[in-house]
Amino acid sequence: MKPVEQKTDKMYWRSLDQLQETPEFRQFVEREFPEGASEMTSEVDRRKFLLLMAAGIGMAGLTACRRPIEKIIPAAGKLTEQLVPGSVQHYATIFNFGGQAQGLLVKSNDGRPTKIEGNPNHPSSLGATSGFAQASILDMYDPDRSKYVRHGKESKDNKNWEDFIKATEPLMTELKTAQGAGLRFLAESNSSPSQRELRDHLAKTFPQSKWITYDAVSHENALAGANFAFGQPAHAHYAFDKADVILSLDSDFLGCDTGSTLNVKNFSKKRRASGTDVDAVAHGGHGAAATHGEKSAEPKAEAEHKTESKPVEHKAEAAKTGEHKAAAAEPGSDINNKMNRLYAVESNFTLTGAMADHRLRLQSHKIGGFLAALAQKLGVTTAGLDKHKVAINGYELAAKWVDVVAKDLTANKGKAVIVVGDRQPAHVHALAHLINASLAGEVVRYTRGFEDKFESGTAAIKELATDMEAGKVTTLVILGVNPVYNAPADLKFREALKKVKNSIHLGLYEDETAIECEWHVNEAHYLESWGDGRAYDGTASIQQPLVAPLYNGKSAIEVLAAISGYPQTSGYEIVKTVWAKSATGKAWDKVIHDGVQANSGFAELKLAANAGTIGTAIEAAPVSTGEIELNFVSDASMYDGRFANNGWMQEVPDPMSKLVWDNAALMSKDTAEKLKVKNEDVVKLTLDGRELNLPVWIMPGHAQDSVSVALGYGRTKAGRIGNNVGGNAYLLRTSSALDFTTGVKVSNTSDTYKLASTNDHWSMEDRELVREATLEEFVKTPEVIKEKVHELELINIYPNPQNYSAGNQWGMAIDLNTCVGCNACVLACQSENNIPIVGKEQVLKGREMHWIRMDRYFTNVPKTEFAVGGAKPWVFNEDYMQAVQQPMTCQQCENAPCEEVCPVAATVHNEEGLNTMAYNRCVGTRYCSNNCPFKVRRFNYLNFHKDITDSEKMGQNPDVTVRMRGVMEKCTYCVQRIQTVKIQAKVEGHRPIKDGEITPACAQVCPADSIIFGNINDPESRVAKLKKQARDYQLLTELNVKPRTSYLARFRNPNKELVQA
Amino acid sequence: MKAEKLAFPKWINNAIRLGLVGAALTAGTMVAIGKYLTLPETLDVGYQPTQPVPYSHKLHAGEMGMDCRFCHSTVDKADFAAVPPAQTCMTCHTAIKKDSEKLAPIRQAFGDASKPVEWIKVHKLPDFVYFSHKAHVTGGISCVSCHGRVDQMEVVQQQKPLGMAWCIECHRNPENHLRDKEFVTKLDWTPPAGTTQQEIGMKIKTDNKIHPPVENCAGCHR
Repeated sequence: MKPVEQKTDKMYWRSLDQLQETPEFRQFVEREFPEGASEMTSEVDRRKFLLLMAAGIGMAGLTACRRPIEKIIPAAGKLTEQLVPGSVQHYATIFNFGGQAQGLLVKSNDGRPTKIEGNPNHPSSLGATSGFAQASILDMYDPDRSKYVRHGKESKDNKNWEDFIKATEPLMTELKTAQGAGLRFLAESNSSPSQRELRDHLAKTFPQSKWITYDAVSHENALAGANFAFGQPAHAHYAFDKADVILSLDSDFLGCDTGSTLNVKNFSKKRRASGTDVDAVAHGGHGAAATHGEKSAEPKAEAEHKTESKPVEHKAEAAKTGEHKAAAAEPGSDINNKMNRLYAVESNFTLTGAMADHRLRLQSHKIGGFLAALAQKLGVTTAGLDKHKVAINGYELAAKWVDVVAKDLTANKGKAVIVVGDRQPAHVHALAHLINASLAGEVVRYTRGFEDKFESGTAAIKELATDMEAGKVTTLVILGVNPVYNAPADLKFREALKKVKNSIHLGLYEDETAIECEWHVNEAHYLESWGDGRAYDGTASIQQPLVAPLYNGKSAIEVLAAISGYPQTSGYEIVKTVWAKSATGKAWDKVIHDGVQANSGFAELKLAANAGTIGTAIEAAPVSTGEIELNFVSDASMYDGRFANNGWMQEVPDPMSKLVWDNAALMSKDTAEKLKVKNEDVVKLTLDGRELNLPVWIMPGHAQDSVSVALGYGRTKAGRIGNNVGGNAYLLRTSSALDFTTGVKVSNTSDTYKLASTNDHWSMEDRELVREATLEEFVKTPEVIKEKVHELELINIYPNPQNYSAGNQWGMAIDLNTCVGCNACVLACQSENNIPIVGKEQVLKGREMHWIRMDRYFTNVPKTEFAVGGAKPWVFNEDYMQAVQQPMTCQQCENAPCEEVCPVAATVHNEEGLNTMAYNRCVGTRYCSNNCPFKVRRFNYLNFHKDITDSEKMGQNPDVTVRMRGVMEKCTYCVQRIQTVKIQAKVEGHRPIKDGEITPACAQVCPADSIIFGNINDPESRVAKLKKQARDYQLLTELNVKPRTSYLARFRNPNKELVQA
Repeated sequence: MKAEKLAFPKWINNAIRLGLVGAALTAGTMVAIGKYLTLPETLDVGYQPTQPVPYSHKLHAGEMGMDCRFCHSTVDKADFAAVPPAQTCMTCHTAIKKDSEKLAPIRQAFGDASKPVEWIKVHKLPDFVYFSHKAHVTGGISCVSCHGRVDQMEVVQQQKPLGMAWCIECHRNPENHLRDKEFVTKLDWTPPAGTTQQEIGMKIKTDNKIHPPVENCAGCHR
């Protein structure tokens, strides 16, 4: 591989190809459009094309004569609910994910759920959501969902729920007589009080049955660690808004972890290099959630599934937001030398590592050793530390880190915290709890967990597989999990399942497990069924359906109720009965309406970490050695594989590697050189005789001698989108090494495999787009950001420039200092704006359609910093890798270059400063895209919406045009939301629009509140105040395009002791 | 052979000129015919489908004087002016003409929620146009401006072209159509004696700061 020659001291680059200026990179960026993007595909040659065109014109002539008949079908029957057709309702519900509830507000257009937003009242989301929650709506409309009940593995007969109940009745009677001997239930962890009640009922009906909880991606290590430390599986809550120093150990608490939405929200509060007033400015946007809704009439009982559904009334919320007046921020008043400091020690390069002020790359199996050494430095004397700390022996930089970090943590006692990732073994968690007890003060809080006693899911499923193998299991009920695909490979679950006489599977899809089961029952999606759940802090909520099940599916609680003969059978009745203890009548209505039960969170527990049991655990934990480490990581898109058939998730670029539609063996550049492999070489990973072939993808800054592989790919029965995408890492994952292991053999197969990465797509090459400084520099000279680029005196060549001084002038500010790059905005935009997916082949040609592009730049530490051992970290050095994320979308230039070249005036400015698109005018010359300096225009090369199924159509946003082939499209600041609010304001007597009343989809979903939108003409608006800050800058000012979007610079808060040798 | 023999005769020059003029005229006529045939005025005005129930607006809205909003109740609350559910019809028709053959589909829809009446849409805008009834009706644009004298129609037909040029005409000069909000559903309203539509419209336009989108594409296309 070519050595890296860096032109300047601190360069920002996206791919190694760019840094090394390879011919491939030059060719890719120098073409007007990427190769293949503008050429016709080979399937249709020119002659055939002309033929088809001729035929098409002939047909068009004929069909145009007849006016298509369109029907209006009003509601029939006796109506009790007065819904206004064409108006929008929002309902509060929850999304049970990773064993905990996330609070949502779901938008419904005439009974069809169309968009997911966070519930501002819910403690897990506070108005934002994760990307997973955004994408979950697409699963409901997935045409590949299982639609029927099936009996018999090969059977093609479609059965229904009644058939299932009738056929299994004798079996259940028999099991009852046998006290449930041989009966097993397998489910994923769930915080639902109703499911808990049904489990208790099952235990009474079938005393000898067993319930097994298994999650392929689990919090088991964290709970086991708490169990070691406190004798119970307590939940630890980290108040990142109170922490000044954070040490993250292999934790992606800002990225892919289940609770990241809340973590990012709290972390970002401490990240704003600004006074508290501006902090308030950026936070006025909450509750702006869903402002464009009609207050609907009191709902009354109708059909069962709509029973007592409570739409959320937003007007009060909107008013509240508008009243929020923050103190005016003078220019420069945003300077504040208080910002938290994040240290990250990790193997894979995660979003948390990208946010960190300092990042140490270290193999996952050595991180326990790092913490042991740190603990000793901090004066912890527990047993076993000496045994583990040898792991980092000989690594000078790690030793330096231990010294410096220990000092910094001690200096910030009471405001310093150590966070350990779910992939680290239990004893590392336990040790962190012990250190946090003296260090963290108010930052860490404990509550009880969902379970009273710790039970290992891994041990449970292992026992289940053994019992199945031994023929001890006669009936197995699998609820919504897919163990044939994701159970540890050594359990040979598929073979064991064959020995079970009666197997019943409930699931959204006929997946790998379903086809091996005797019975399959189609499951209802969470937006179709009643349920409940608890947030991580214990706050209880009701899961309220928005629509009756599309395919008459059943929820897990309904299946359990039917099997155990529970008095109530429908989901609604079960939940209502269970909740009768805590909420009835008005209180029940309120819980449904608000989406949370007030004050239902778990009480704080004062727990003392038991140094003795922790020491025993550390002493007992093995120390792993071995040359190359293999990491199994949950995927930022697939999670554990459940989103495999979700096109949005397949196509959203991985936040760090930028790969789409595939996983890869991620490794550092030096490791790849050592193994003599390069990008896209297929390697064979061999572990205990199990093999997996995967292409290599170089992740600069990955730990040395370590390979990371994302779980969730290589599905065979996911559906038309997810089948055979990527490689199945579960094939290598055994119950003894679920997270990482050493001793993997990596051999080059001499095959290559084309990976689709959006790394170099829409490249802006070496232009200064990201501006960064250290906090110290900025405090000393606030001009440092503006001075990064020499600004020219700009003159206008047009005689009559448009006047933008009156009325609403829309603008946006994006804070790079808080943006973690989680992709939630990309997915929210896709959901809001009917953006199609295009597939891997098309992405390879540069035809992806996302309106928001999340640019991830790699860089190295600035030259002012020094390194251990005389290294020069400011030139390419994987030990000192940093990353910056920058969401890039239409900048709404006042002097828009795209508009000047449009021959048909399809893209023109409006008086509010928006660069509008009239799709019906566009003839597809693509001149605008060519002339766009930000490369944010997307062209519909093929009719990506043509093959969309009827069920998917129901999920489209009716307020946004569905664009066809040959049309250019781009971000509009969600003009449909602007128009809706403007019309409403007009109807309400031409009142002015309040700040925060209009929120584009990206801004609404952002957990960090990094995106703020508003009227820049109003000096009191949040966006106007942010734009006055000294760290605000516009992109490519030298072009005089006057973008309406500006960015707030990124700061790092380095520890001097770590940057000076 | 003499050179003149090979040369074109002189009259060819005129013939070519004539031919070119003729071709231009023919092409021009073709374009004009094509354009005329595809104008909304030609294609859409007069569209009058037969509805599943022979509902007479002339009888209900005209002779009996029912307000438009009795049935199209969402017109000032939502972007869509809802066609009423069967229940609305049955408010009266449980007592009046309760056995009428013509009302059979309505009774069926009222009795069975799965058998709604399938009305045929008369006034249709393209999918890329976002028209809001709420914005227009509450601003003082009468139903009659776009739908014509529905109260005189036995069978509803499209009377206005509903094309973009026609929309823009009113967006440029809304004073020609604006009236006091209380008269929006009064289809036979005329300016009181001594005043003109322009005067009234101009006053409403200034008082209520009415600026319909003219050059803002996003006002209707999004």
